[in-house]
Amino acid sequence: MKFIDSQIFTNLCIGQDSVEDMVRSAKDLGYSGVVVNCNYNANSDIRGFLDKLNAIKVDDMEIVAGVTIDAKDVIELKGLISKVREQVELVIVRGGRYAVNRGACEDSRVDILMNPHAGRIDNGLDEACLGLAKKNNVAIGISFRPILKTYRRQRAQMLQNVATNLKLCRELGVKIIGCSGAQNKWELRDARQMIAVADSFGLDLGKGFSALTTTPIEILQKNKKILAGEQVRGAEMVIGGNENV
Amino acid sequence: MKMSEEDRKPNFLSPSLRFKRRYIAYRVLSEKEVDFKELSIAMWNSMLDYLGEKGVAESRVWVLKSTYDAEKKMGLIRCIHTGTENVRAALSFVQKVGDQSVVIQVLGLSGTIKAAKQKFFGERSLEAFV
Repeated sequence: MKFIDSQIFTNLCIGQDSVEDMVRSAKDLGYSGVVVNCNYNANSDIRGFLDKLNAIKVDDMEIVAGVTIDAKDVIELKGLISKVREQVELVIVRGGRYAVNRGACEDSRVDILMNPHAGRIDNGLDEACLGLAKKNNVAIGISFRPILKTYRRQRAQMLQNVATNLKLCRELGVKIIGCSGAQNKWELRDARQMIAVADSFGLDLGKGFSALTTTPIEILQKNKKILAGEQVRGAEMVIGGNENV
Repeated sequence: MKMSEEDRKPNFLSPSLRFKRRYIAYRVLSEKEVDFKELSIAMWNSMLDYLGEKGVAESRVWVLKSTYDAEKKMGLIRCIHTGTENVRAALSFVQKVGDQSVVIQVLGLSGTIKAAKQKFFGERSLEAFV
């Protein structure tokens, strides 16, 4: 099975280990592709990051460039999305503030809203947000690192919010994506174990597998076609349509 | 030597009454060698933190010392068939053994120790050479 880790950070950005080290560790753990992310805010240099990343090749692993947008408000979010959307294959928005969560769900240029519950007491999403996410094809991402780095009461609270988001996404038919969010190679986790964690919070194994396999692959394939000019954003490709219409 | 009545163990249960055991094969990814005692403590702490005493008791978990291969850094954990996902999940929370960072990777499941060793540790029985 082809597992994809949709968010890892390396020393090209806020991470500690090199791209090569991270990718080799991911390969050891059974991944066949990783999305190397750059933490993006108003002062970031995305071009330099992409140039360095494109020069790196590790065995037969698929290395994809992604951006994690860290915005303070919706206006900043929209501006940052416009700057990076046509340069990278995966656009992730770091959640937390309700306005940013909602802004990300409203925007079809966003691929993943990561950790909408981050730094909150509640889960950060409501039915309206998730309805918009479904309409605009925005997936809700759950990163493993924040769970790993908290303990006791905080971890319990975070897992409770994750469980709520998983339940809402499952019931409203919103796509879910799981990733490690690792900043060094010791924070990477086996995909099957992350699925087991999701399983213990009510996400069945089938949906857990698709969160790490089919869903990220579909998003990446779609974005690759758009970047290559083979497909238009927001349009559906219909093959073999009715000729009389 | 005859056992006294107090030392005597209960008789084996019939197969239908026994718990359905599964053996989880794991591999430790670390830079240096890992001491089994420290590894066992880390795994037990992680499982108790994540599953709680009740969850661990319900999953009937046991970390097997005799099956740990220090050279390959591989070993087996015993639990019942309904507890495998819980144990898998709990092992992902192990971050440190002693003072070194580790990742515990679950290699897979098996119904017997013999099959687990053949499947995951690369051990071969004499029958394979006939």
